[in-house]
Amino acid sequence: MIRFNKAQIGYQQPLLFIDQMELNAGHIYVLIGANGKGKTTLLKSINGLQDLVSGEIELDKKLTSTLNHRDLSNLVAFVSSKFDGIEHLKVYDYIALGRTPYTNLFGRLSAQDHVQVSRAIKTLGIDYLSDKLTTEISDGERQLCAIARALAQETPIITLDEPTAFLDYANRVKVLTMLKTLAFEHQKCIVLSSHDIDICLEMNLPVLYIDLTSNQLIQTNKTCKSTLLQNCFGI
Amino acid sequence: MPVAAYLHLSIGQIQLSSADFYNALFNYNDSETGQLLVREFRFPRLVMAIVAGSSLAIAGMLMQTLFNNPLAGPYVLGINSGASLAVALGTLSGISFFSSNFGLIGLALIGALVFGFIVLGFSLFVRNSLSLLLVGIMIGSFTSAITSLLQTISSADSLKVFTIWGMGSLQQVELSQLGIITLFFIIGLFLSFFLIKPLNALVLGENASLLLGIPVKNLRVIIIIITALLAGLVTAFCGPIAFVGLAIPNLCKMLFKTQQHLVLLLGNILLGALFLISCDILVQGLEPFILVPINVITSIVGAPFVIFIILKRLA
Amino acid sequence: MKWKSFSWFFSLLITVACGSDLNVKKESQKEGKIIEFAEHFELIQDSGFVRLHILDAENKTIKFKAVLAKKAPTSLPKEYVFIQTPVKRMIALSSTHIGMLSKLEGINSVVGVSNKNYIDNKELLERTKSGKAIELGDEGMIPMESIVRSKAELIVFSDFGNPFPHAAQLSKLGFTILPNVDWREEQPLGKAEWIKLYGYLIGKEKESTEIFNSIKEKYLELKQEMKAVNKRPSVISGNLIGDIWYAPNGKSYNAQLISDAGGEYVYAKTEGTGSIMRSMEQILSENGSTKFWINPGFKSANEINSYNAKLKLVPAFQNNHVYCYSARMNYFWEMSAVEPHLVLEDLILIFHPEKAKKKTFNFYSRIN
Repeated sequence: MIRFNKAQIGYQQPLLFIDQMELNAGHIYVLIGANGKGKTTLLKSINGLQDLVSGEIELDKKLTSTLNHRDLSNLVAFVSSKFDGIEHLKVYDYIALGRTPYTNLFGRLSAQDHVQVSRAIKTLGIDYLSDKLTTEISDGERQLCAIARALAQETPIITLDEPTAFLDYANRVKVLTMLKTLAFEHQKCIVLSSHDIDICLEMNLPVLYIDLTSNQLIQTNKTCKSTLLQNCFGI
Repeated sequence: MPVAAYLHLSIGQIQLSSADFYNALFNYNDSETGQLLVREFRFPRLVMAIVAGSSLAIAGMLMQTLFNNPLAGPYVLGINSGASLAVALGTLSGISFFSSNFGLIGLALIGALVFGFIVLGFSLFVRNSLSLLLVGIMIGSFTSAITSLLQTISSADSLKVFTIWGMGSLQQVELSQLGIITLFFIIGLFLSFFLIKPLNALVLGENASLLLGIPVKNLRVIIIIITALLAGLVTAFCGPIAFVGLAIPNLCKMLFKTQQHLVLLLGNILLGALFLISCDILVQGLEPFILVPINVITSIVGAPFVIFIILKRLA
Repeated sequence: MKWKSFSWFFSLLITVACGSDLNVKKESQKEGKIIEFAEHFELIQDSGFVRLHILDAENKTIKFKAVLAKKAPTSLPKEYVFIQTPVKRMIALSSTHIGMLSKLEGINSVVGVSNKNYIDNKELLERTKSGKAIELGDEGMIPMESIVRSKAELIVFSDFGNPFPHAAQLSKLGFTILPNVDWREEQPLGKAEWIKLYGYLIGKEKESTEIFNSIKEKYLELKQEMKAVNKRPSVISGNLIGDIWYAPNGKSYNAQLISDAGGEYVYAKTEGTGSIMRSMEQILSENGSTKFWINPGFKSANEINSYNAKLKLVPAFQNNHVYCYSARMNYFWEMSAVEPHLVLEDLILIFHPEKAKKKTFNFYSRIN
């Protein structure tokens, strides 16, 4: 689903290197690395918002450099670490904005669009929030809504930038569990960055970590915490 | 209901006239004093109020969504300052042609266009909309300073013409000009409808909109063009009219409690027109007692309202 | 106010009838007030010198006091400035000042002017060309150094309520600043009488009085003739600025001229100072049958039309009865104040052409 080919991620200077890597549908990958190492930049590059210094990324066999924003919006959906809520905007309408790439000229939702939105809401288990305003609910609930919106966008790939950063412990577990299930049941390729190393390891999630010395992105499925901490953070 | 509101208000204007021998003569166009007054005075004034009120409200809405800022108004890009500067240059040069009706309109249009292009140019180089907002404000300050300078070196007569222009007026427009005005108004309106979907997404922020497939840079350009067109149009024919563009979009959001821009657009068109018509009815009503420029009324009503918005947001 | 002017009018009739020469000598030598019509300045003959008072435009309190004499008196009365006559170097910032000096042949005393684009007087324009008179710029913006460079003894400026810039410093440097309030005079003869001020300043007292009396005579004669006329055509004056039409109020200078010329000013019954304001709608509904429109401030019908299309709806305009002094604006602004009898002649020619003795205009022309 996502293929990296000699990719150098960064702005003018490369921050991190990915030689060859393939990320598949049906799986969730957790991106771990020290601050400033390029996690957010990597996600931006996958989203198509940031050009590569060199090399290629392929999304569903298409090079990101050849895709315009419309095409990208059909392939990748993004969830940021915090959603503050927007005045006067109901949860249902917010999630429905995820259908933007598919709606007509005036943004009118078709029956199919409504189906997708409802599905996303159901999957995330947030039926009870549907009619509330995005400003009236808790941070945790808002994150779930953000994920629902990404789901409603019906993309094969979903990227999330530290989606659990502002959540309490219970919600963190809940969100990560949900994402893992999502990836499998809906055959999505989900990439998220996180600092919740303990939870991720406990859940046996595949890890992509940025090596401290080589700045290489390395994929590993089974690793122990101490090795990870050593390679990533040097402790 | 909107239709009824419109009709009611337009008739209301005629009935508020100081003399009493005018029938409802909308359809006849002979040259009897009463009918003359309706045709040459009341009707252009009414149309202008509708066009100006709606245009400014729409432009204000566009600005507020683009910059995600409830205090942005149609003049925030500095386009209006351009029109002011052009008018200042013309009137204060002492050449009488520039102080004529035709001259003032031409000057303001040119000024708005030129500055519209300048802002457009900046928008292509600027990284995000916040930067553009700042650029617009700086342009505004700069041109204001130059205009002030011009004012200090001008004669008393020229100064008076310029000052009066700055107070705004719905009555300078002539019957023959209504055609063009309406045409451009409809174009601006029409284009705005196509922006509904992108605007809806834009409330999520520029990056999120990009990721939803919205071409944000192009969107910015079109918004600027429409705003320049509508705000420039109004400023050219009426001078700068205060507060409509700032207060009405906020009012719409508060009244209709939605971010759905179809509703907001229609709301702004309607409420903008209604507001300005009402203000002008006040101006007409006060006529026998005191002659008040339209800006005075819009500000007296608008300013407390803006303060109210700010306070409410802080609460 | 009306009574005052009437009583003066009658007493003047008598003095005029007795022969002007004799009276001039009498007036300039006897002690007491020299001024008859003007309400904003006073010249009072004292023993050995003349006292000058300039009165405030609004409340008529004395705001400037000076003693005019060839030599400074031994004791100067309190708050009085001494002006040594004859004044040889003056800065003239008002058009009326220039006009009055030209009647007195005193243009050679002008060493500073405001803006030569507003000057009509040829002699003065020559002086500005040759550098004998300096161009100082608009009143609010005159650099102090320019004033110093002019070496003037006296600065005369039109006082609209704001003090002359840098007044305190200029006084310290020895300049005398004289406020000109002739613009506020409501009586045409009152305005013309200011020529006496300049006459006394430049040492031509007798000439100024003679000139004024001659003007006064002619004016009153014309006025008297027009009094007898019964049919008075209606007249509107003024123009639009923006949305507001400004017209002179019923007691103003222009209203008096219209009335003295045998016209009926539509707003003759209004009170107050300053202009009256009307919306265009009011103007149209109140002037449906007004015959004449004077003083629009434009040169041609085209100009009027392009300025604001609604103006062409004024019936007087449609009937081609619009008149203005716009053919020679600067000339009008300079000379009309001191020659109200000529203005009156023009107005009579407009309103009652059959009664006019001269068939050509002094200042006015029809606007086509």
